Amino acid sequence: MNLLSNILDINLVFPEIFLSLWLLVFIPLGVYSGGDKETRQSYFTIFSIIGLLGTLLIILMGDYKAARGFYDLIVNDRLVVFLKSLVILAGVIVLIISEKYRTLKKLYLFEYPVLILFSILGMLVMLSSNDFITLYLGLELQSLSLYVLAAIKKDSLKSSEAGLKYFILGALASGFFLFGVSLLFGITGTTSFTILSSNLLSPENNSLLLILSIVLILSSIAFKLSIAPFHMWTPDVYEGAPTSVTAFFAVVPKIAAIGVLMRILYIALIDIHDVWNQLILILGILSIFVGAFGALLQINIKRLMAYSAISNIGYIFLALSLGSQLGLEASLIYITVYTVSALGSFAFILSMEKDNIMLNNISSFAGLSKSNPFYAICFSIILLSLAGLPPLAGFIAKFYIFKAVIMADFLWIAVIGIMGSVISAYYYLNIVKVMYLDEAEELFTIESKKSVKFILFISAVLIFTFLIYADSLINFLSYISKAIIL
Amino acid sequence: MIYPISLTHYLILAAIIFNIGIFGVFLNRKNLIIILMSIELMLLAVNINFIAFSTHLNIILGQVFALFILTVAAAEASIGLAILVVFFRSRGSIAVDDANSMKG
Repeated sequence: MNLLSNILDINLVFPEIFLSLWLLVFIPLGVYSGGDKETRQSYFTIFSIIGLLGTLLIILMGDYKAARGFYDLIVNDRLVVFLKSLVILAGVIVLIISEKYRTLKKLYLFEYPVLILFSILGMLVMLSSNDFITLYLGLELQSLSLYVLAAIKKDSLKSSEAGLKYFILGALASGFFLFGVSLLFGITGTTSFTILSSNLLSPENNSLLLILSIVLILSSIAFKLSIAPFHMWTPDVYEGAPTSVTAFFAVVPKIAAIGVLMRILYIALIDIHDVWNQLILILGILSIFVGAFGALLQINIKRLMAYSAISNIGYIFLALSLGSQLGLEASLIYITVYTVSALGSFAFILSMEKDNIMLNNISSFAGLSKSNPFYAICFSIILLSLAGLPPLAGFIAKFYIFKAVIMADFLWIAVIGIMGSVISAYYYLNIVKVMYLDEAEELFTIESKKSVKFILFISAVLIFTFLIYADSLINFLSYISKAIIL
Repeated sequence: MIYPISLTHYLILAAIIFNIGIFGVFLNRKNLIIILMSIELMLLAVNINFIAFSTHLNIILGQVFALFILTVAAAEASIGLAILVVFFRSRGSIAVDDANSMKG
């Protein structure tokens, strides 16, 4: 009987099984197929997009009811389904917008989409994990693929150095994670989130060792999310990695790690909320300010996006630290809006090339409003939203974060957070100023694929018209967030 | 007089090895391969922790976790060495101080 029920659990991991089988077909196909490099590259991209969309279809056709399986190793509910769909959609969009860049930089390796698919597989495992063992395996599958992706441009010094730095610090973070988990296992005798949630509160557990283990686990997740003071790798890796890989780094792993953090904080460790809430709060405030001040003097748009990611994830940490339903909802809204705006910004950055050279310096965008008004206006809308100007999506997302913070009686924290937001508005608005007011040295037109233009356009429209559909989206996300009931 | 080896001894040993690993990553200024060795040391210290807790609590889960960590550590070491080879080919050196083309 027990065995039979375990076999039926296979429904829960059907998307992951499908994606792994797809990858098993993909690898020999990549090794043995011949022909022209450029056509092969576009075929492989289409092949991997079909695989991802198939996985998405299986996820959406599956069950949304809360269910656990494989001796509580795997969990599935609407939050998992939502975050998995977000991860896959963002992965597909990154593959589409990086197509032209890869041709330009001659990144024809078929391993490139394979590694992206492997890391997405790792993220799916992370998101559906209900135990530290599953979480660790997913985390490592994801990170090992990301290390190689950062170093994928083998002939470039910067890319290989980025991969090396990311690898060393990432492996250090997994070491911390494992040490924390081993201490937690020693204290409670389990690694399952479900059992932990009912097991942690007994008085003899509230020891220094428990706090140490939680600090170690949370700091390694904070590392994966590039939260200050674990952010040192971020600007270097974002700058050194090929821009298409940076686009992937800036969006997709963040969603997965936020989902994991929600599950650890709100399911496994919710009973000891007063142990971790100040830790998460301080990390959040710190990274808002590190992101705001670090970006002020950057001239490279990729480094600027790195600091922008640091401060944006900081706001999500503020909301998550509250341990309330409202905070969970606000962080879901924020990560959705952040995904759309980051994908839009990278669609813009990846199409900025002149005479086969990528324009990475902010000053090279001067006069863009005259030469390429479409790009200038779309990117300006996205930047204004990131800066948090009122009618746009970024404002509403920040509003919900600060609403949750104020409702939890942390008025001063909200004031400090808004100050950080005002500081970071400077460097977003500076780019708008460069595009609209500065004189260009020479006018040039930007050619990019229709699909990239379309994605840039769609993300700008989604951000601009956010108020129209905000109500239904927020209701939907609050329904999703109730998958975890506090 | 002979003291029996208790759980605490194992934990202290694991903590010492783990700290050697951390210091090896941060204090070492010469060779990147030493960093890889230090990372391996950290993971092995965690394994000692898991197995000591597992036998102490009489729960087999810790030993299962240790086996998973061993497997993943092997994959991690191979990827680290591969990235190191790529870096050596473009930089011509594996000194820690030579990984300095980006700053800020």
